[in-house]
Amino acid sequence: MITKLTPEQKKLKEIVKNEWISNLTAKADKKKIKEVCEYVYFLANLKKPKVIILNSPLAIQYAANLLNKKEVGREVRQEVEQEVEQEVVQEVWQEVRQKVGREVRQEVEQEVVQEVWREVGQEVEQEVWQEVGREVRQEVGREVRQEVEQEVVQEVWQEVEQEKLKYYIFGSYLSSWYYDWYSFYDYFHRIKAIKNEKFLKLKEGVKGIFEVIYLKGYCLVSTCPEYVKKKAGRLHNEHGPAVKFRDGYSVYALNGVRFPKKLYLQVISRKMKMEDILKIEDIDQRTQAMKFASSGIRDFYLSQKGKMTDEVFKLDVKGRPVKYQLWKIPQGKVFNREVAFVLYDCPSSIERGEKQEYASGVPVEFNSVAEAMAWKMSDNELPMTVEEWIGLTPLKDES
Amino acid sequence: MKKHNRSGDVNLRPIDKLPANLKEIKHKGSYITARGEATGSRHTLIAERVSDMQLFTDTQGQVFLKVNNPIKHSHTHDHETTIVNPGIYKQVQEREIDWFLEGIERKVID
Repeated sequence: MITKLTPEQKKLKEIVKNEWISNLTAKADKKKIKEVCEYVYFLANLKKPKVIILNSPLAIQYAANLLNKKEVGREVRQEVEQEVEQEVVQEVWQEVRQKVGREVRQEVEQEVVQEVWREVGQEVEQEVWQEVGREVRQEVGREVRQEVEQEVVQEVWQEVEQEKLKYYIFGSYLSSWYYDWYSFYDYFHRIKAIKNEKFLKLKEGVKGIFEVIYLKGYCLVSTCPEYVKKKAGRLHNEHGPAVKFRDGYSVYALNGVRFPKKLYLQVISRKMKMEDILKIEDIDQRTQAMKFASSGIRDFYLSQKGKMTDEVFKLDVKGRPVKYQLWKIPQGKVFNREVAFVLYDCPSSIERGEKQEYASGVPVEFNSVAEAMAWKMSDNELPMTVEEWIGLTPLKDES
Repeated sequence: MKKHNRSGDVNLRPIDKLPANLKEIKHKGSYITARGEATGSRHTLIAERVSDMQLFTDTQGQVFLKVNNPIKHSHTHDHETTIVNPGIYKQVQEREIDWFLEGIERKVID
């Protein structure tokens, strides 16, 4: 029974963590991928599948739709069609491809997941288990799943929805979503706490796989991105895609906020006028875009003869000031009537050591920040009082 | 004093009692209060035990919650996690005026 890690074993935690984080952009070994896909179908008592390896999660969504005779479009279409046609040219197209993800998940869970869990439980003291869970598994989960995989999957889902195609849920275990699970048991394998051949087969094959779709007779695999760019742990690139796959499929993001390509290019050109930025519907995208405006938001208000009519500072839980301002802009070139905006610091950005401001339109009749903020946080049935808003402490009651 | 809780544009307004005729929402210890349509970000309520919070919805889709033990209100990226204390709350989405669109009031979108 391992009750305490040796100094070498402690060092290994960092190594294993970094290896699994870097696997997110690992190159695909097509032979190994094919073998591992066939292996999970074997575990699930399913017929050996045809393994189709494509270079983005969007491509395998298109492939799944093509296999079900749906028209697909966009930039990766040609590659997908060629691959799919090569593989299924002899097939009869009548059969609707059944999803077999549930069978695969259940069998892998029964055959491998529970086994390695039991093995580690028998060999490793709970404190060590928790330590590795915290320092390896959770870190890999945050870096790979939370900050990248989930963001890409959301983007893919939106694209598939926009094209009115069927969205296929990505499969279990052979995907980057599970890299944290692999990192955890990989660590225990490397310190010789477990020895499980089935796990080793999965572990070797999963490297370089980003997502998978399990269909009856077909296993569709997306390889990992070519690169991932982050700032402070969040997807961010001011000069191109934050995530780029090898077929060109890309995700654009600034400080963890995803943008459609067209808007992203407008924003990073730094030529967007503030009045156009303020028209962006999504408040998070609007806030990020404000940082790239050709002029600052206060300059914009001032250019429209706007005046700051109230300013309030609250103190957050650590005594740091959080600023709120109320601005009024008269009828003029941009607005055909008097308008008002609140401009306020995000307290959470102060906690992260950043500076992020939000701007929101509010009714013109308010003369104080407190009235405007209380209105903003209310609905007609449950109005917030000015005193209630004043009583809220940033980072305790609001974030 | 009952305290309002705010995570970005998602507000939990304290109320005295639950309205009548609500339908309970089943959960397994977490509940996404809002998902950013454009950005995919998520605001999530996280309870240590399932019994720590009860969730309800009315016929208009408005969400109410009864917090029996403190729970967390977290966000994917931008907003720090806050604690929601025991009490009864109504979920209220923030609002703003779109002065570029004829001064229309709308729910804040993230």
